[in-house]
Amino acid sequence: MLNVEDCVDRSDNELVKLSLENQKYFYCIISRYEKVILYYILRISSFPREDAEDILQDVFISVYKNLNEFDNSLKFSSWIYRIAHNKTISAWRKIKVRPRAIPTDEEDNLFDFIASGENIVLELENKHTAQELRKSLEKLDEKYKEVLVLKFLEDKDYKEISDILKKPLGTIATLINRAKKKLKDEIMKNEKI
Amino acid sequence: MNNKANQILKKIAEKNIKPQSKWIFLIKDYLIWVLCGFAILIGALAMGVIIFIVNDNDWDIYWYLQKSFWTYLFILMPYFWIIILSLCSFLAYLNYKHTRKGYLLNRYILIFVSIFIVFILGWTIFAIGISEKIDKAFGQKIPYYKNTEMHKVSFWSNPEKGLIAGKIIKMGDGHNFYLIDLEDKKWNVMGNEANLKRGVNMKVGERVKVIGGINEIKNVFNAREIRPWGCGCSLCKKNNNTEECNQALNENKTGGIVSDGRMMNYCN
Repeated sequence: MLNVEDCVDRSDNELVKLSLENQKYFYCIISRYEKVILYYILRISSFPREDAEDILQDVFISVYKNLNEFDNSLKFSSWIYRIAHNKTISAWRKIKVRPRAIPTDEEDNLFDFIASGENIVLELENKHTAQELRKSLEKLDEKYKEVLVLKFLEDKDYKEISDILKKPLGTIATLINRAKKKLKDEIMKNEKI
Repeated sequence: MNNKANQILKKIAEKNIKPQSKWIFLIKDYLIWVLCGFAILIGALAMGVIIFIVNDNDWDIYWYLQKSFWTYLFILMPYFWIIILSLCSFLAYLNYKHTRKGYLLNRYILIFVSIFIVFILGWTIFAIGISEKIDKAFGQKIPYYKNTEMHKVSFWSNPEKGLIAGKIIKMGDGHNFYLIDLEDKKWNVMGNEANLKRGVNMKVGERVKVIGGINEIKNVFNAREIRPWGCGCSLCKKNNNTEECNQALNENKTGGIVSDGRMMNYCN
């Protein structure tokens, strides 16, 4: 039986290659990404944890089925996030519920990170609680919310976000800038109320 | 051991899921590119025919036909080809977007580059004379398709409005000549005062368009302007084998670019 320790020093690309030869190595890929992908699904959806875990399972099955499609010029993490994003969106389209950011257990300090991470609203950092930020984020359009989640909660750079959402780099930059402004406006609106 | 990971692996084993073959993805990728190329090619053909139609039509005769420019434009607009071009452009765009790196290119740059490629290819297709052949073939084979030739025949069969066209059957003094028009009527055309447009070859057998007016004397037409029948925009059709064409071929004048930049055709 394979242990996670056996794969620690292996790169994602090596693990993809090995998984194609021996299914057991896929265990390492699952172990490596299981937690981050589950959090990502929870962050962009309104699904309860059990449903998110079902989506997670679908994600890994899809990854395994399509291992030969993986393009080495892409980061494996971007590819798996893309699949997770598409699976989550399809799942919520099926039940026609708009995804809403539901905080995970570790989420509160991550929401604080949105404010402090880049100079969105540095002045808000001290004034607003994670709760307020979360509420405002939930009210944003899907396209703005998903870039903010990827940029500030998943800590992805522009290139990775572009690869995950399959949008040009310029569009991502514009979306992030607009999303920051929208978030700031939403916070101000809530403040007035 | 990680329970979730084991659970997923168990599921994969239970359902006997195997990674799909690399070939399936490669074929899918190639298919997208082939469809994209095919859409661009058909789009370029449509663009070529549009260029031909725009170039071959006489945009200045609406006044003689007692129509407004917009009515005239409405009649002549190549709707069929514009729809084909739009559909193909959309298909090419869609296919390109579905290629592996298709999402990286900005939508506006992609549209601009596509228009540029389709225009260049379309112009090439037009310049080598394929557009004219397509337009003619569609006119003969597709019901309700009115090609440029058909439009021209209807516009240039209006002697009472000052527009006639046909074949020169006999040359007279100077630029006077006898012409058999598109409705098989013979005219004595007084052309000495007429303005001869570039590309007109005043010879027996030559097809010309004449702007002018009916003379008081029966079957006499006073010409103000004489134009070649064709736009002179395609290369010589070697299959025509007319006397003039053969002569032109012998003189190595199969076609060339005249001073206004259009392709000159000696074998209309």
